[in-house]
Amino acid sequence: MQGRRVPLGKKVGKDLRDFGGAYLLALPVIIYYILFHYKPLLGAVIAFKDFKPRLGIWGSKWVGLKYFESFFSSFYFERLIRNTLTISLGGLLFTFPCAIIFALMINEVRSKWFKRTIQTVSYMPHFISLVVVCSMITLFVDKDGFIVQLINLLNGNVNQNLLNIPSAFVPIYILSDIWQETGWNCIIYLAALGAIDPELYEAARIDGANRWQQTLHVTLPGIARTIMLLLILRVGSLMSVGHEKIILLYNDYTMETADVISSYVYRRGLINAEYSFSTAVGLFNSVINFALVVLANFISNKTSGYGIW
Amino acid sequence: MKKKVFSILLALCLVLSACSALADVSYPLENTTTITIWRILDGSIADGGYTTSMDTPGFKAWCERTGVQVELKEFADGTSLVLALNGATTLPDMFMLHAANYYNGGISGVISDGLTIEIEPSMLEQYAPDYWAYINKPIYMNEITQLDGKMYYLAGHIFEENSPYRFWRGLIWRQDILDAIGRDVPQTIDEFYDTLVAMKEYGVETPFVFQNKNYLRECLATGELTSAFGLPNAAEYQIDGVWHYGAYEPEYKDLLTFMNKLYNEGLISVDYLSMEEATSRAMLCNGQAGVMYANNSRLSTYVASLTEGASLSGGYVIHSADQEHAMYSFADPMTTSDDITYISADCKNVELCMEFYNYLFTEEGNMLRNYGILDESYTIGEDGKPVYTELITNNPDGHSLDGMARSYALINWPGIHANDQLALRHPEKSQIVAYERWSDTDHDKYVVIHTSVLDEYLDEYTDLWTDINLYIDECRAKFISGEMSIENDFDTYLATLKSMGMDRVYEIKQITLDAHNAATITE
Repeated sequence: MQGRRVPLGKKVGKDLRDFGGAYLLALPVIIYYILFHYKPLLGAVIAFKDFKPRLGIWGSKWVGLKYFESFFSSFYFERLIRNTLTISLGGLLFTFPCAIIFALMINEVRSKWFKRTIQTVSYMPHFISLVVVCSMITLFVDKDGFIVQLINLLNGNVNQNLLNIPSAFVPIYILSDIWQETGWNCIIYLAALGAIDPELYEAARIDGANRWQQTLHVTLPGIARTIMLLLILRVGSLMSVGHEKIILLYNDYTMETADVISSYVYRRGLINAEYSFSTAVGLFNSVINFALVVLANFISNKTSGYGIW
Repeated sequence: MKKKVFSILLALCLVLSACSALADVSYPLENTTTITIWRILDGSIADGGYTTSMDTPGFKAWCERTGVQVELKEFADGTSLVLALNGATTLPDMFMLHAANYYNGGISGVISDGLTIEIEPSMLEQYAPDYWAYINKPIYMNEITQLDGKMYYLAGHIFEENSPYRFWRGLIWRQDILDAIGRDVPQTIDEFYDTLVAMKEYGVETPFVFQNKNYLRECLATGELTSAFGLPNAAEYQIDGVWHYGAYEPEYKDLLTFMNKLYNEGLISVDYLSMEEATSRAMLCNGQAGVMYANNSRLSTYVASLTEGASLSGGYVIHSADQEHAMYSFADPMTTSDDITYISADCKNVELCMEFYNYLFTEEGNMLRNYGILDESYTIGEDGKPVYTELITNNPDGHSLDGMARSYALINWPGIHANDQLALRHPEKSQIVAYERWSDTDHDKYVVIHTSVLDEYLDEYTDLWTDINLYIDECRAKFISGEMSIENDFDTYLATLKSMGMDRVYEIKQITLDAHNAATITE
């Protein structure tokens, strides 16, 4: 059998005959993807058109790369890229490992009851609406808020809302992200931890490994694949920092560190209703993100042998 | 001779017939069909116990008396209305939209996207004669006429000439604190500053606050404090037909220096850019602040939260000692942009829509619009002026005056905003005083009526302005906080604005202003 070429049509035909039921089951999902994920891709063409809703996508006139040029030549272009990368790299550096460390720590806890409680409490913030989270943050870092009070107790001399200090914005953003998402993000690692064969630990113990060595040589390699997978996906969204949290927290003072591509697109696309312009920026973003994913996957394949594809 | 008499008679006949044609819509109308209207929901009717205008007695009466069935669709906000308009295969017959706020390109965007039809005077004469009779004066026509000299919409709320009620934002003082430190309500910039300092010494923590985090910008942009430095405002204005932007003028430096002084001396809060109304309201009401830049309605809504013995009063618009009054202050246009009524390009019965709209300008319709239904929501008082009944003013079910008035009358629909009606709806005497003080300016001399630009420049202008606007906002904050030094960095600031294309903005705006001035009539 091996090496003999079977025409694709014949192959699919046979497959359909044999597993028709399975294909039928998959059909709704395929239709869903075509309708809601591939068809809308065509709409990205408005990035190259002066889109007027009344004229429709095809009725609007072509303008070529006008909106891309306008974005690249914007006074704030460099700053937007810089801020976006600062916040997302900061997230990669701090938020990402937190979930792993947290999962390892929970894994070491013996008491089941304690473990469950900690887990539930830690992923609770994930379910709070972002608007509520942001008003909580605003209150916490207000000059009467508990965080500023704490800083003042330690040694600081802060008498204003931390959200008015440009250099404090990124730390506030990342720390609050850690608080909100760590518990939730560690679930997937905990699942991976559960799948590690207990015999490996036994073998390590027999070889005289202490707990730290077990973590280092059994646990971590056991979840390495999961970590790489999530890391590659994360790299693929380096250029996108969600606008919701940004626009809820920034103000004129902190613009210089807080304004990112997505908040800029939000202002121009939704508030000014410049649909074509914001589509152009979004498209630019997606292309870079896509390139990053491919690159990250390639590097990962080369160095560790793991990859998404 | 005979011939002359004959021709005079003939001319007279013609004039008479023309006159009779001008006021010949009689209600209820006959042979009507259903019309569709889309607009933004006036949330305040909830205070009257209604969730949609379709159910309010006022709207029902309008439909009944005109004999028109209306299919009304109300949207939660302007953005969702615009999305619906953009996505509609068939537009509603009419829609009411504050285009300048919600539509890309404002009113001219609505026009150039082909959403609306041109409103010709001859149509108004025939189908909306009462509206036309009221609106056909330079003071209104200058606002309604577009840059090409044509009309594309029917007006929204129309203020009476010389109405002070369109000046609804200004300084609100804690009168009791002023009394305690023995000062009058300040009028000049020096009195203003001295009063803030005196308040601070008296123990008022942060004397000057703003209604919310956007209001310091609003305050300067609409000319509070700026007059004293020779600037009508810190945003756009005109002097004798020449367009200016306050934040790009040399006088702006003095204004910033003053604001920076207030900031450094703790007379305004360091947190003004993140302070929400809940905080600033509490500060004013419990005496941590002594004056707030806020909307007129706050004079009545804050009363309940005031500490005992405290009272509020509207202040003057601050000016310099050698000025008689301020150059500029916040004001709505004579015909406000809310509820501007467009007849859509897909409208099937333009005549009927105009006649329906026109009803609100008839004598009877005007009473319905402002006061509601006779003997139900209002009666005629001894002085011949209408007064609201107990149903409105002291509702047995506990609904607020405002909510009831909006449900029974058509206050948030197009029509003439009668001064008497506005007076009735302001329970606090201090509110009326505030309107009078806040309207004592030369606002109309400096105001730029058409804030959009000519169509062919729209893309270029939007591109330039988005970044410039952000830069101005950021630098204002930095200059006031001292992060940028006014002495050293102000020239760099002007140079950066120049490099960002500010001069081109001046050109585009000037061309637009010229077009506007050429298109409008003067008295």
